[in-house]
Amino acid sequence: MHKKMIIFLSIALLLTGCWDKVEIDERAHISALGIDRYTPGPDDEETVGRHIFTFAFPELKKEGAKDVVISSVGDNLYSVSRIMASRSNKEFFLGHLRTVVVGVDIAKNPADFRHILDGIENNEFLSRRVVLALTEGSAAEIIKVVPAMENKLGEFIAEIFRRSDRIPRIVGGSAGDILRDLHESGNTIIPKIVPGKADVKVAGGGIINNFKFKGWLGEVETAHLLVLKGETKCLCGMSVKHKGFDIPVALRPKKPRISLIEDKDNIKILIEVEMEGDVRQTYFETDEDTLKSSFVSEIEQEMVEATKQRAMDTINKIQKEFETDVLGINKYLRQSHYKLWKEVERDWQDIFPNIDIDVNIDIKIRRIGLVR
Amino acid sequence: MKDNSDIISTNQMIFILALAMISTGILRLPRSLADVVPYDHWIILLVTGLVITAVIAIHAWIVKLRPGVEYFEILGESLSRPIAYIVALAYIVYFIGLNGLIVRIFGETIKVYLLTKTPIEVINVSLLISCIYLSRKGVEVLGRLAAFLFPIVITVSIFLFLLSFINTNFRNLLPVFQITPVQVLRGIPVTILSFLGIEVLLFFGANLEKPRESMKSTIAVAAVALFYLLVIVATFAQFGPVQIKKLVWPTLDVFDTVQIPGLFIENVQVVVMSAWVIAVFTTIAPLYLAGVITAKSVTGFKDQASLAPPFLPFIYFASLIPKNLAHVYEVTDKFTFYFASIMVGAIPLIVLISLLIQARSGKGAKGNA
Repeated sequence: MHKKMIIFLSIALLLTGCWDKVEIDERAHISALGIDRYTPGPDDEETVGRHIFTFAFPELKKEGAKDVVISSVGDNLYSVSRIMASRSNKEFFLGHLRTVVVGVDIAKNPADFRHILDGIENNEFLSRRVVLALTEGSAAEIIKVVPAMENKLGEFIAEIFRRSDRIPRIVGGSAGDILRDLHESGNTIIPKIVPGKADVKVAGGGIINNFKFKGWLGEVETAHLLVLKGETKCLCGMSVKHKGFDIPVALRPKKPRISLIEDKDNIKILIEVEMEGDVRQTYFETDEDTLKSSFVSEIEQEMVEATKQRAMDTINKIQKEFETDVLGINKYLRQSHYKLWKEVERDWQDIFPNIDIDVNIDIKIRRIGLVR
Repeated sequence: MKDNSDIISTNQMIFILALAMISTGILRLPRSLADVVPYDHWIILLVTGLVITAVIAIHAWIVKLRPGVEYFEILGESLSRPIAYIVALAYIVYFIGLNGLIVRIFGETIKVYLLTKTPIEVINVSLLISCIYLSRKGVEVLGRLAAFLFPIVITVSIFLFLLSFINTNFRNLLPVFQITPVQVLRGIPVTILSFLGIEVLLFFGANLEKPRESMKSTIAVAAVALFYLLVIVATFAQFGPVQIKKLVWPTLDVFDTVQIPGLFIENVQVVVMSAWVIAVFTTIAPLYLAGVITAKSVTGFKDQASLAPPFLPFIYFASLIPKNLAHVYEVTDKFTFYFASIMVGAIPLIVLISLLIQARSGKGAKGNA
């Protein structure tokens, strides 16, 4: 009797169904998501703060097929992904989402932007590894692009970012880093993404100040910002004018050293960057002897001047035009000069544009190519 | 370590204690610390580790003074019989309450991350049923299980925490040595919750093979403190002291950031969750067993196997008392601060003092105690 009872009970417990079961082909694995601001037409009911959500997901049954793209208007990510269930034969699943593109119109309104950001951070399926990017036009337009090299757009963008430390001009766009910066100061830089015909281009970045979009930082400036923050391993594609010719030099910056210089009147910050570089080419039948160290030091000198100028321009733009500390000086002060930071923390937004930031750049050219 | 004699070795005891300490507290330990102070969390942790070492030393001393005697008997000896009954009853309520809270947090976490549509009741009850199964037999089974599971849980979790170091910035741990003694004191109560579970030493002490070595239990505290140090460093280096305050379960979110090209799974969080489920089970099971053993001594019942199931409904209903997750943590904090500190700290201290006084006054009769 006892044994029979136990067998029956264990059958009831072990062989019955599973609450959470969803077959894999019944799920729409969203790979890219675009969020835009929705401007109600004259006939629409009056709705405030609504967004257009555009989802892209692959059709699992067809190998190599284009992504399916659908969009819907709604208030927040969670509700929309639920409501979409009534419009599709599949369960929406965000666990494999790779890329979130946000239209800049949303970032121009702090309330909307914060609403969207929390929707992203609070979703238990949405990973912090997701790439977050801003676009100038409509995010839906980007989601609709089918890259020639890779059918799946979400994957395409994520792969660009995965190599980001080897590509100059790309801000590391992982949602985890962006959210951390925003939690800490409300300021950050988010990579900018531009749609093309059969690809998308990631370059430059949007500056966010206190959860509000402030302006775009150009590509070259972004590259130098990354060097100053120590977030890139290469500053390639830079060249120097030498006697009328462009000579490209590939630079490999090391982690910069930041220090606070004693000054009674003002906070003075010195950023020192050391770089190694290779001369990639000169010009055919050159008059220079590249094997002479005097030539190398000339190039070094010119490169230092050019790089320093560009770095200072970048800092100037960040300080004077955007008035936003995306350089991480606030972090540096908090971590290394806590007492001073406590004094300035409250007014940092007003203090930052007026502090002195100086840059010291040291370039050592190591290799000069194969041809003399 | 003879077969089926319900005797455990010192090593098994250390494994039981270490696993009993690591449970749901670890999920929010970094956040609780970040709420207290924005720097030097590791100092608070180490100081708390010392406090807990002192507490477990009290427990170990009691076990050493009365080798092979059950805790209820010791209570009777030191506090008089009627008070012993009241205290033992309080211990049973304590085990039920603590288990209820742990089971509830466990269920809530599993429901968010793994089984979103499974009713929380099913999650909780299935965990408790497996604890009944373990508690039917004595401490020896638990000792063997702990010795088997400890290396698995620890190696897996240390490996995964080390993985999270790949994309991390240790500058987030700065500044250091800014903390004041007052801040350390304020940090200790929130950290203690993560060490609860040490009190099972009192209840399993009678089953120790060599009660003389009971002081070695402090090794368990040191090991767990070191493990928590790794957790704190990993979470704070990853998120920084500001963002951590905003995360409900920062310890799990760390693994959300792990991204290693070529890793065979995309999301290591799943592996962490399974190691963590084992860690929670090995916390609830000893507490459950300790409750059953106390009930056995109080009632004088011989059959331990039939005493285990009646605990389930009590723990289950205790787990349903808090209304929501916010309430769970409010209740847990009060429970730890008031009830647990009395049951784990104050009462054993009184017992020890009473035993020592008795030993001194009855020196001639008893010889060396």
